[in-house]
Amino acid sequence: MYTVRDSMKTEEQLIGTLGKLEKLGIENVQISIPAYTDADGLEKLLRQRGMSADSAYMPTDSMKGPGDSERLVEKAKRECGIFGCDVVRTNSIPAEYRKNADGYRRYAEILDREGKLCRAAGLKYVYHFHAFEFVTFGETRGIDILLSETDAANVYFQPDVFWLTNAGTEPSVSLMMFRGRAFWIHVKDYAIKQLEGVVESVPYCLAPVGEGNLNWPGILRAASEIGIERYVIEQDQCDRDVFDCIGASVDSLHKMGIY
Amino acid sequence: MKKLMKSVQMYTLRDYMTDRESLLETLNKVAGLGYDGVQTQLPAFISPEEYAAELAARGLYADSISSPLLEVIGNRDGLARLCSIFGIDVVRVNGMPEGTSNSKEGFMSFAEQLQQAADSLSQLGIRLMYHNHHGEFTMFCDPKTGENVCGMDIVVKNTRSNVLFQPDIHHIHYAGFDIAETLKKYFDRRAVYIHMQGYGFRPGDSEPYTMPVGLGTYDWKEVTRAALDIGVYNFVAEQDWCLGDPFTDLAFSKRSLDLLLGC
Repeated sequence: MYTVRDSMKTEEQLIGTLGKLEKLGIENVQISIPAYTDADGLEKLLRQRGMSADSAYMPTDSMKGPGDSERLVEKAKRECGIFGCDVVRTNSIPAEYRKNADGYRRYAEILDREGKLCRAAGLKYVYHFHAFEFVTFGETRGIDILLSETDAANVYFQPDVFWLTNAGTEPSVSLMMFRGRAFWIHVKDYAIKQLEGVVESVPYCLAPVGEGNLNWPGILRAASEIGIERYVIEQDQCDRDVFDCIGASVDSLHKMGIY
Repeated sequence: MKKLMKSVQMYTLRDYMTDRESLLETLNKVAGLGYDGVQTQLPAFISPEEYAAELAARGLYADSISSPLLEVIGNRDGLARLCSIFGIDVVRVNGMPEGTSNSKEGFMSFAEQLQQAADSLSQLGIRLMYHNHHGEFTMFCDPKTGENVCGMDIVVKNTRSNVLFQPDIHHIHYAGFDIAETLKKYFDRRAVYIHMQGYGFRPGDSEPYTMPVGLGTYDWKEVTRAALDIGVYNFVAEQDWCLGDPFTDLAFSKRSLDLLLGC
Protein backbone atom coordinates (compact mmCIF):
# COMPACT_ATOMS: atom_id res chain seq x y z
CA MET A 1 0.00 0.00 0.00
CA TYR A 2 3.06 2.27 -0.11
CA THR A 3 2.06 2.64 -3.76
CA VAL A 4 -1.16 4.41 -2.77
CA ARG A 5 0.20 6.20 0.29
CA ASP A 6 -1.01 9.57 -0.98
CA SER A 7 -4.52 8.17 -1.35
CA MET A 8 -4.94 6.85 2.18
CA LYS A 9 -4.08 9.78 4.40
CA THR A 10 -7.45 9.67 6.10
CA GLU A 11 -9.86 6.86 6.78
CA GLU A 12 -12.24 8.30 4.21
CA GLN A 13 -9.49 8.25 1.59
CA LEU A 14 -8.54 4.72 2.57
CA ILE A 15 -12.12 3.55 2.10
CA GLY A 16 -12.21 5.06 -1.38
CA THR A 17 -8.83 3.57 -2.21
CA LEU A 18 -9.82 0.11 -1.08
CA GLY A 19 -12.92 0.40 -3.23
CA LYS A 20 -10.80 1.17 -6.29
CA LEU A 21 -8.40 -1.66 -5.52
CA GLU A 22 -11.31 -4.05 -5.12
CA LYS A 23 -12.51 -3.13 -8.60
CA LEU A 24 -9.05 -3.91 -9.94
CA GLY A 25 -9.31 -7.39 -8.48
CA ILE A 26 -6.89 -6.87 -5.62
CA GLU A 27 -7.57 -9.35 -2.81
CA ASN A 28 -4.59 -8.88 -0.52
CA VAL A 29 -2.85 -5.75 0.64
CA GLN A 30 0.52 -5.28 2.27
CA ILE A 31 -0.01 -2.40 4.68
CA SER A 32 1.24 -0.82 7.84
CA ILE A 33 -1.72 0.15 10.04
CA PRO A 34 -2.41 3.88 9.54
CA ALA A 35 -2.36 6.05 12.65
CA TYR A 36 -6.04 6.91 12.32
CA THR A 37 -7.22 3.34 12.81
CA ASP A 38 -6.15 0.10 14.42
CA ALA A 39 -5.93 -3.56 13.45
CA ASP A 40 -9.59 -4.20 14.16
CA GLY A 41 -10.72 -1.14 12.25
CA LEU A 42 -8.51 -1.94 9.28
CA GLU A 43 -9.64 -5.55 9.22
CA LYS A 44 -13.26 -4.47 9.18
CA LEU A 45 -12.68 -2.19 6.19
CA LEU A 46 -10.84 -4.93 4.34
CA ARG A 47 -13.37 -7.66 5.07
CA GLN A 48 -16.19 -5.47 3.78
CA ARG A 49 -14.50 -5.78 0.40
CA GLY A 50 -13.45 -9.40 0.64
CA MET A 51 -9.86 -8.30 1.08
CA SER A 52 -7.25 -9.12 3.66
CA ALA A 53 -3.95 -7.82 4.99
CA ASP A 54 -1.15 -10.25 4.26
CA SER A 55 1.07 -9.37 7.21
CA ALA A 56 1.71 -7.30 10.30
CA TYR A 57 4.57 -4.81 10.55
CA MET A 58 7.09 -4.81 13.37
CA PRO A 59 10.05 -2.44 12.94
CA THR A 60 13.28 -3.24 14.79
CA ASP A 61 13.88 0.41 15.55
CA SER A 62 10.91 0.33 17.94
CA MET A 63 12.85 -2.05 20.18
CA LYS A 64 14.64 0.28 22.50
CA GLY A 65 14.76 -1.51 25.84
CA PRO A 66 14.43 -4.82 27.67
CA GLY A 67 11.18 -6.56 26.99
CA ASP A 68 10.37 -4.45 23.93
CA SER A 69 10.96 -7.33 21.52
CA GLU A 70 8.69 -9.70 23.40
CA ARG A 71 6.00 -7.06 23.75
CA LEU A 72 6.13 -6.15 20.05
CA VAL A 73 6.05 -9.78 18.97
CA GLU A 74 2.93 -10.20 21.10
CA LYS A 75 1.43 -7.16 19.40
CA ALA A 76 2.34 -8.54 15.98
CA LYS A 77 0.84 -11.90 16.88
CA ARG A 78 -2.35 -10.22 17.97
CA GLU A 79 -2.53 -8.25 14.71
CA CYS A 80 -1.82 -11.36 12.67
CA GLY A 81 -4.64 -13.07 14.52
CA ILE A 82 -6.99 -10.26 13.58
CA PHE A 83 -5.83 -10.25 9.95
CA GLY A 84 -5.80 -14.03 9.63
CA CYS A 85 -2.17 -14.20 8.56
CA ASP A 86 1.10 -15.43 9.99
CA VAL A 87 3.69 -13.09 8.46
CA VAL A 88 5.48 -10.21 10.17
CA ARG A 89 7.46 -7.72 8.07
CA THR A 90 10.26 -5.58 9.40
CA ASN A 91 12.11 -2.43 8.34
CA SER A 92 15.27 -1.98 6.28
CA ILE A 93 18.63 -2.07 8.04
CA PRO A 94 19.13 1.32 9.73
CA ALA A 95 21.91 3.56 8.47
CA GLU A 96 24.01 3.11 11.61
CA TYR A 97 24.55 -0.55 10.74
CA ARG A 98 25.37 -0.02 7.07
CA LYS A 99 28.86 1.42 7.41
CA ASN A 100 30.79 -1.84 7.40
CA ALA A 101 30.51 -5.61 7.37
CA ASP A 102 30.52 -5.73 11.15
CA GLY A 103 27.43 -3.53 11.20
CA TYR A 104 25.67 -5.93 8.89
CA ARG A 105 26.67 -8.82 11.14
CA ARG A 106 25.30 -7.04 14.20
CA TYR A 107 22.04 -6.38 12.40
CA ALA A 108 21.86 -9.97 11.25
CA GLU A 109 22.00 -10.93 14.93
CA ILE A 110 19.09 -8.61 15.66
CA LEU A 111 17.05 -9.99 12.78
CA ASP A 112 17.77 -13.55 13.83
CA ARG A 113 16.83 -12.82 17.44
CA GLU A 114 13.54 -11.20 16.44
CA GLY A 115 12.90 -13.91 13.92
CA LYS A 116 13.39 -16.58 16.53
CA LEU A 117 10.84 -14.90 18.78
CA CYS A 118 8.40 -14.67 15.90
CA ARG A 119 8.96 -18.30 14.99
CA ALA A 120 8.25 -19.35 18.58
CA ALA A 121 5.00 -17.41 18.30
CA GLY A 122 4.07 -19.25 15.10
CA LEU A 123 4.93 -16.33 12.85
CA LYS A 124 7.21 -15.91 9.84
CA TYR A 125 9.56 -12.94 10.04
CA VAL A 126 10.34 -11.21 6.73
CA TYR A 127 13.01 -8.67 5.84
CA HIS A 128 12.35 -6.56 2.76
CA PHE A 129 15.61 -5.33 1.25
CA HIS A 130 16.33 -2.65 -1.30
CA ALA A 131 19.45 -2.04 -3.40
CA PHE A 132 21.92 -0.67 -0.88
CA GLU A 133 22.24 -4.03 0.89
CA PHE A 134 24.25 -5.14 -2.14
CA VAL A 135 27.18 -3.02 -0.96
CA THR A 136 30.38 -5.00 -1.32
CA PHE A 137 32.81 -5.61 1.52
CA GLY A 138 35.74 -7.35 -0.13
CA GLU A 139 34.52 -10.74 -1.29
CA THR A 140 31.11 -10.48 0.36
CA ARG A 141 28.10 -8.19 0.27
CA GLY A 142 25.74 -6.84 2.87
CA ILE A 143 22.91 -9.03 1.61
CA ASP A 144 25.17 -12.10 1.72
CA ILE A 145 25.92 -11.39 5.37
CA LEU A 146 22.22 -11.01 6.20
CA LEU A 147 21.45 -14.29 4.42
CA SER A 148 24.30 -16.34 5.82
CA GLU A 149 24.23 -15.04 9.37
CA THR A 150 20.53 -15.53 9.97
CA ASP A 151 18.91 -18.89 10.44
CA ALA A 152 16.75 -19.85 7.47
CA ALA A 153 14.05 -20.94 9.89
CA ASN A 154 14.03 -17.59 11.65
CA VAL A 155 14.36 -14.96 8.91
CA TYR A 156 12.82 -14.80 5.45
CA PHE A 157 13.37 -12.16 2.78
CA GLN A 158 11.02 -10.35 0.45
CA PRO A 159 12.93 -9.61 -2.79
CA ASP A 160 11.97 -6.75 -5.07
CA VAL A 161 12.87 -7.23 -8.73
CA PHE A 162 13.30 -3.50 -9.30
CA TRP A 163 15.77 -3.12 -6.45
CA LEU A 164 17.63 -6.26 -7.51
CA THR A 165 18.12 -4.52 -10.86
CA ASN A 166 19.04 -1.19 -9.32
CA ALA A 167 21.62 -3.05 -7.25
CA GLY A 168 23.39 -4.07 -10.45
CA THR A 169 22.18 -7.64 -10.66
CA GLU A 170 20.01 -9.47 -13.16
CA PRO A 171 16.91 -10.37 -11.11
CA SER A 172 16.27 -13.65 -12.90
CA VAL A 173 19.70 -14.70 -11.65
CA SER A 174 19.89 -12.99 -8.26
CA LEU A 175 16.46 -14.28 -7.19
CA MET A 176 18.03 -17.73 -6.97
CA MET A 177 20.00 -16.73 -3.88
CA PHE A 178 16.72 -16.57 -2.00
CA ARG A 179 15.76 -20.20 -2.58
CA GLY A 180 14.19 -21.40 0.62
CA ARG A 181 14.32 -17.89 2.07
CA ALA A 182 11.44 -16.13 0.26
CA PHE A 183 7.80 -16.81 -0.49
CA TRP A 184 6.63 -13.39 -1.72
CA ILE A 185 8.27 -10.89 -4.07
CA HIS A 186 7.59 -7.27 -4.95
CA VAL A 187 7.00 -6.73 -8.63
CA LYS A 188 7.33 -3.53 -10.58
CA ASP A 189 9.15 -2.71 -13.78
CA TYR A 190 12.29 -0.74 -14.52
CA ALA A 191 11.96 1.58 -17.47
CA ILE A 192 13.79 4.16 -19.52
CA LYS A 193 11.14 6.60 -20.67
CA GLN A 194 12.76 8.54 -23.48
CA LEU A 195 10.30 11.39 -23.41
CA GLU A 196 12.82 14.17 -23.31
CA GLY A 197 16.43 14.86 -22.56
CA VAL A 198 19.66 13.56 -24.02
CA VAL A 199 20.07 9.81 -24.18
CA GLU A 200 22.99 9.71 -21.79
CA SER A 201 21.26 11.46 -18.93
CA VAL A 202 17.60 10.46 -19.06
CA PRO A 203 16.81 8.88 -15.67
CA TYR A 204 15.40 5.43 -15.11
CA CYS A 205 11.90 5.25 -13.76
CA LEU A 206 9.58 2.81 -12.07
CA ALA A 207 6.81 1.43 -14.21
CA PRO A 208 3.94 -1.05 -14.10
CA VAL A 209 4.85 -4.66 -14.69
CA GLY A 210 5.38 -5.21 -18.39
CA GLU A 211 6.02 -1.60 -19.33
CA GLY A 212 9.78 -1.60 -18.81
CA ASN A 213 12.91 -3.51 -19.61
CA LEU A 214 12.92 -6.32 -17.05
CA ASN A 215 13.18 -9.90 -18.20
CA TRP A 216 9.78 -11.10 -16.97
CA PRO A 217 9.94 -14.61 -18.45
CA GLY A 218 13.25 -15.12 -16.66
CA ILE A 219 12.00 -13.53 -13.46
CA LEU A 220 8.87 -15.66 -13.34
CA ARG A 221 10.85 -18.81 -14.05
CA ALA A 222 13.25 -18.02 -11.22
CA ALA A 223 10.44 -17.06 -8.88
CA SER A 224 8.63 -20.32 -9.57
CA GLU A 225 11.81 -22.29 -9.05
CA ILE A 226 12.53 -20.79 -5.66
CA GLY A 227 8.95 -21.25 -4.49
CA ILE A 228 7.45 -17.78 -4.67
CA GLU A 229 3.75 -18.00 -3.80
CA ARG A 230 2.64 -14.39 -4.16
CA TYR A 231 3.55 -11.45 -6.38
CA VAL A 232 3.01 -8.17 -4.56
CA ILE A 233 2.42 -5.26 -6.91
CA GLU A 234 4.18 -2.10 -5.84
CA GLN A 235 5.18 1.10 -7.60
CA ASP A 236 7.00 3.64 -5.50
CA GLN A 237 6.45 6.39 -8.08
CA CYS A 238 3.85 6.59 -10.82
CA ASP A 239 4.04 8.88 -13.83
CA ARG A 240 0.27 8.68 -14.29
CA ASP A 241 -2.78 7.84 -12.16
CA VAL A 242 -1.65 5.36 -9.54
CA PHE A 243 -4.71 3.13 -9.95
CA ASP A 244 -4.12 3.05 -13.70
CA CYS A 245 -0.61 1.86 -12.99
CA ILE A 246 -1.80 -0.82 -10.58
CA GLY A 247 -4.39 -1.95 -13.10
CA ALA A 248 -1.73 -2.17 -15.78
CA SER A 249 0.40 -4.37 -13.52
CA VAL A 250 -2.60 -6.58 -12.77
CA ASP A 251 -3.33 -6.97 -16.49
CA SER A 252 0.29 -7.78 -17.27
CA LEU A 253 0.49 -10.40 -14.55
CA HIS A 254 -2.70 -11.99 -15.84
CA LYS A 255 -1.24 -12.13 -19.35
CA MET A 256 1.89 -13.71 -17.91
CA GLY A 257 -0.23 -16.43 -16.31
CA ILE A 258 -0.02 -15.10 -12.79
CA TYR A 259 -3.41 -15.11 -11.08
CA MET B 1 42.99 -12.64 -33.35
CA LYS B 2 43.29 -8.94 -32.76
CA LYS B 3 45.59 -7.91 -29.92
CA LEU B 4 43.62 -6.92 -26.84
CA MET B 5 43.94 -3.27 -25.92
CA LYS B 6 43.20 -1.29 -22.78
CA SER B 7 42.36 2.36 -23.17
CA VAL B 8 41.17 5.26 -21.05
CA GLN B 9 38.11 7.29 -21.94
CA MET B 10 39.46 10.75 -21.26
CA TYR B 11 36.05 12.01 -20.12
CA THR B 12 37.03 10.39 -16.83
CA LEU B 13 39.90 12.88 -16.62
CA ARG B 14 38.04 15.85 -18.02
CA ASP B 15 38.96 18.04 -15.07
CA TYR B 16 42.64 17.22 -15.55
CA MET B 17 43.05 18.31 -19.17
CA THR B 18 41.83 21.85 -19.21
CA ASP B 19 44.92 23.27 -20.89
CA ARG B 20 48.00 22.03 -22.71
CA GLU B 21 50.13 21.70 -19.58
CA SER B 22 47.58 19.71 -17.63
CA LEU B 23 46.80 17.56 -20.67
CA LEU B 24 50.44 16.55 -21.09
CA GLU B 25 50.78 15.81 -17.40
CA THR B 26 47.63 13.69 -17.57
CA LEU B 27 48.97 11.81 -20.58
CA ASN B 28 52.15 11.14 -18.60
CA LYS B 29 50.07 9.59 -15.84
CA VAL B 30 47.91 7.55 -18.22
CA ALA B 31 51.04 6.16 -19.85
CA GLY B 32 52.51 5.51 -16.43
CA LEU B 33 49.49 3.43 -15.52
CA GLY B 34 50.28 1.15 -18.43
CA TYR B 35 47.29 1.86 -20.65
CA ASP B 36 47.76 1.32 -24.38
CA GLY B 37 45.74 4.28 -25.55
CA VAL B 38 43.12 6.91 -24.98
CA GLN B 39 39.66 7.65 -26.28
CA THR B 40 39.56 11.38 -26.58
CA GLN B 41 38.05 14.45 -28.14
CA LEU B 42 40.42 16.96 -29.69
CA PRO B 43 40.94 19.88 -27.33
CA ALA B 44 40.94 23.32 -28.85
CA PHE B 45 44.23 24.29 -27.23
CA ILE B 46 46.41 21.80 -29.11
CA SER B 47 46.63 20.96 -32.80
CA PRO B 48 45.83 17.42 -33.96
CA GLU B 49 49.41 16.99 -35.13
CA GLU B 50 50.84 18.02 -31.77
CA TYR B 51 48.38 15.86 -29.87
CA ALA B 52 49.22 12.84 -32.01
CA ALA B 53 52.92 13.50 -31.46
CA GLU B 54 52.52 13.81 -27.70
CA LEU B 55 50.58 10.56 -27.61
CA ALA B 56 53.20 8.77 -29.72
CA ALA B 57 56.00 10.11 -27.54
CA ARG B 58 54.39 8.37 -24.59
CA GLY B 59 53.63 5.14 -26.41
CA LEU B 60 49.91 5.90 -26.44
CA TYR B 61 47.44 5.83 -29.31
CA ALA B 62 44.10 7.51 -29.87
CA ASP B 63 41.56 4.82 -30.64
CA SER B 64 39.14 6.99 -32.59
CA ILE B 65 38.22 10.44 -33.84
CA SER B 66 35.08 12.02 -32.43
CA SER B 67 32.46 13.79 -34.52
CA PRO B 68 28.83 14.85 -34.28
CA LEU B 69 26.82 12.42 -36.40
CA LEU B 70 25.23 15.15 -38.48
CA GLU B 71 28.63 16.51 -39.49
CA VAL B 72 30.17 13.21 -40.63
CA ILE B 73 29.12 13.30 -44.28
CA GLY B 74 29.81 16.99 -44.78
CA ASN B 75 33.18 16.80 -43.03
CA ARG B 76 34.22 13.43 -44.38
CA ASP B 77 37.51 14.64 -45.83
CA GLY B 78 38.35 16.49 -42.61
CA LEU B 79 37.69 13.36 -40.57
CA ALA B 80 39.78 11.33 -42.99
CA ARG B 81 42.65 13.76 -42.51
CA LEU B 82 42.38 13.46 -38.72
CA CYS B 83 42.27 9.68 -38.96
CA SER B 84 45.46 9.82 -41.02
CA ILE B 85 47.18 12.08 -38.49
CA PHE B 86 46.36 9.76 -35.61
CA GLY B 87 46.84 6.54 -37.59
CA ILE B 88 43.35 5.30 -36.84
CA ASP B 89 40.36 4.23 -38.93
CA VAL B 90 37.47 4.73 -36.51
CA VAL B 91 35.16 7.73 -36.27
CA ARG B 92 33.17 7.77 -33.07
CA VAL B 93 29.76 9.41 -32.76
CA ASN B 94 27.38 9.51 -29.83
CA GLY B 95 24.03 11.03 -28.99
CA MET B 96 20.88 10.94 -31.04
CA PRO B 97 19.91 13.94 -33.17
CA GLU B 98 17.15 16.09 -31.74
CA GLY B 99 13.71 14.72 -32.34
CA THR B 100 14.77 11.14 -33.02
CA SER B 101 14.66 9.59 -29.57
CA ASN B 102 10.99 9.98 -28.69
CA SER B 103 9.37 7.58 -31.13
CA LYS B 104 9.87 4.41 -33.12
CA GLU B 105 9.84 6.55 -36.26
CA GLY B 106 12.55 8.71 -34.76
CA PHE B 107 14.72 5.71 -34.06
CA MET B 108 14.21 4.53 -37.65
CA SER B 109 15.31 7.92 -38.90
CA PHE B 110 18.33 7.76 -36.61
CA ALA B 111 19.24 4.33 -37.97
CA GLU B 112 19.06 5.72 -41.51
CA GLN B 113 21.34 8.60 -40.58
CA LEU B 114 23.86 6.24 -39.01
CA GLN B 115 23.82 4.05 -42.10
CA GLN B 116 24.32 6.95 -44.47
CA ALA B 117 27.25 8.23 -42.42
CA ALA B 118 28.79 4.76 -42.23
CA ASP B 119 28.43 4.19 -45.97
CA SER B 120 30.09 7.51 -46.69
CA LEU B 121 33.05 6.75 -44.45
CA SER B 122 33.33 3.20 -45.77
CA GLN B 123 34.23 4.60 -49.17
CA LEU B 124 37.43 5.93 -47.56
CA GLY B 125 38.13 2.80 -45.55
CA ILE B 126 36.98 4.39 -42.31
CA ARG B 127 34.64 2.73 -39.81
CA LEU B 128 31.75 4.49 -38.07
CA MET B 129 31.19 3.59 -34.43
CA TYR B 130 28.18 4.72 -32.41
CA HIS B 131 28.65 4.95 -28.67
CA ASN B 132 25.30 4.36 -27.00
CA HIS B 133 24.18 5.10 -23.46
CA HIS B 134 21.02 3.93 -21.75
CA GLY B 135 18.43 6.16 -23.38
CA GLU B 136 18.61 4.13 -26.56
CA PHE B 137 17.18 1.19 -24.61
CA THR B 138 13.85 2.91 -24.14
CA MET B 139 10.94 0.54 -24.68
CA PHE B 140 8.02 1.59 -26.80
CA CYS B 141 5.00 -0.21 -25.34
CA ASP B 142 1.78 -0.51 -27.31
CA PRO B 143 -1.01 -1.27 -24.80
CA LYS B 144 -3.38 -2.18 -27.65
CA THR B 145 -1.21 -4.84 -29.21
CA GLY B 146 0.93 -5.67 -26.19
CA GLU B 147 3.97 -5.19 -28.39
CA ASN B 148 7.11 -3.87 -26.77
CA VAL B 149 9.87 -2.60 -29.06
CA CYS B 150 13.24 -1.51 -27.76
CA GLY B 151 14.87 1.49 -29.40
CA MET B 152 18.18 -0.32 -29.65
CA ASP B 153 16.42 -3.15 -31.48
CA ILE B 154 15.28 -0.70 -34.12
CA VAL B 155 18.75 0.76 -34.57
CA VAL B 156 20.64 -2.54 -34.73
CA LYS B 157 18.16 -4.27 -37.03
CA ASN B 158 17.95 -1.33 -39.40
CA THR B 159 21.66 -0.81 -39.86
CA ARG B 160 24.17 -3.02 -41.60
CA SER B 161 27.39 -4.49 -40.28
CA ASN B 162 29.46 -1.45 -41.22
CA VAL B 163 27.72 0.48 -38.45
CA LEU B 164 29.66 -0.46 -35.35
CA PHE B 165 28.60 0.13 -31.77
CA GLN B 166 30.52 0.87 -28.62
CA PRO B 167 28.41 -0.44 -25.72
CA ASP B 168 28.94 0.77 -22.19
CA ILE B 169 28.32 -1.98 -19.66
CA HIS B 170 27.13 0.42 -16.97
CA HIS B 171 24.60 2.03 -19.27
CA ILE B 172 23.30 -1.37 -20.34
CA HIS B 173 22.72 -2.19 -16.69
CA TYR B 174 21.28 1.26 -16.02
CA ALA B 175 18.73 0.53 -18.73
CA GLY B 176 17.58 -2.46 -16.70
CA PHE B 177 19.11 -5.16 -18.85
CA ASP B 178 21.44 -8.06 -18.17
CA ILE B 179 24.82 -6.92 -19.41
CA ALA B 180 26.21 -10.16 -20.84
CA GLU B 181 22.93 -11.15 -22.49
CA THR B 182 22.48 -7.71 -24.01
CA LEU B 183 26.01 -7.70 -25.41
CA LYS B 184 25.32 -11.02 -27.09
CA LYS B 185 21.83 -10.08 -28.25
CA TYR B 186 22.57 -6.73 -29.85
CA PHE B 187 26.28 -6.37 -30.45
CA ASP B 188 27.66 -9.71 -31.67
CA ARG B 189 30.16 -8.84 -34.43
CA ARG B 190 28.91 -5.24 -34.20
CA ALA B 191 31.22 -4.01 -31.42
CA VAL B 192 35.01 -3.98 -31.20
CA TYR B 193 35.34 -1.39 -28.45
CA ILE B 194 33.51 -1.41 -25.11
CA HIS B 195 33.29 0.96 -22.18
CA MET B 196 34.00 -0.73 -18.90
CA GLN B 197 32.99 0.85 -15.63
CA GLY B 198 31.70 -0.51 -12.36
CA TYR B 199 28.68 0.40 -10.28
CA GLY B 200 27.70 -0.15 -6.72
CA PHE B 201 27.19 1.19 -3.23
CA ARG B 202 29.92 2.39 -0.94
CA PRO B 203 29.55 1.37 2.71
CA GLY B 204 26.93 3.53 4.37
CA ASP B 205 25.63 5.06 1.16
CA SER B 206 22.00 4.84 0.09
CA GLU B 207 22.76 5.90 -3.47
CA PRO B 208 25.02 4.04 -5.89
CA TYR B 209 28.00 5.42 -7.80
CA THR B 210 30.09 4.47 -10.79
CA MET B 211 33.20 2.61 -9.72
CA PRO B 212 36.44 1.29 -11.14
CA VAL B 213 36.47 -1.87 -13.21
CA GLY B 214 36.48 -4.83 -10.86
CA LEU B 215 34.48 -3.22 -8.10
CA GLY B 216 30.75 -3.06 -7.48
CA THR B 217 28.08 -5.61 -8.22
CA TYR B 218 28.64 -6.57 -11.85
CA ASP B 219 29.75 -10.10 -12.69
CA TRP B 220 33.07 -9.03 -14.23
CA LYS B 221 34.11 -12.43 -15.48
CA GLU B 222 30.79 -13.01 -17.19
CA VAL B 223 30.76 -9.53 -18.73
CA THR B 224 34.35 -9.78 -19.96
CA ARG B 225 33.71 -13.23 -21.43
CA ALA B 226 30.65 -11.93 -23.26
CA ALA B 227 32.59 -8.96 -24.61
CA LEU B 228 35.39 -11.17 -25.91
CA ASP B 229 32.87 -13.58 -27.42
CA ILE B 230 31.19 -10.85 -29.47
CA GLY B 231 34.52 -9.65 -30.85
CA VAL B 232 35.59 -6.78 -28.61
CA TYR B 233 39.34 -6.15 -28.55
CA ASN B 234 39.57 -2.63 -27.10
CA PHE B 235 38.48 -2.35 -23.46
CA VAL B 236 38.02 1.30 -22.58
CA ALA B 237 38.05 2.13 -18.88
CA GLU B 238 35.70 4.93 -18.03
CA GLN B 239 34.18 6.24 -14.83
CA ASP B 240 31.52 8.87 -15.23
CA TRP B 241 31.97 10.03 -11.65
CA CYS B 242 34.99 9.46 -9.42
CA LEU B 243 34.44 10.18 -5.76
CA GLY B 244 38.16 10.11 -5.10
CA ASP B 245 41.25 10.63 -7.24
CA PRO B 246 40.39 9.46 -10.79
CA PHE B 247 43.97 8.35 -11.43
CA THR B 248 43.75 6.03 -8.44
CA ASP B 249 40.50 4.65 -9.79
CA LEU B 250 41.95 4.24 -13.27
CA ALA B 251 44.94 2.43 -11.79
CA PHE B 252 42.55 0.01 -10.12
CA SER B 253 40.64 -0.40 -13.38
CA LYS B 254 43.89 -1.16 -15.23
CA ARG B 255 44.86 -3.87 -12.73
CA SER B 256 41.37 -5.33 -12.97
CA LEU B 257 41.48 -5.36 -16.76
CA ASP B 258 44.87 -7.08 -16.65
CA LEU B 259 43.40 -9.81 -14.45
CA LEU B 260 40.17 -10.16 -16.40
CA LEU B 261 41.87 -10.30 -19.79
CA GLY B 262 44.82 -12.35 -18.65
CA CYS B 263 47.29 -9.99 -20.31
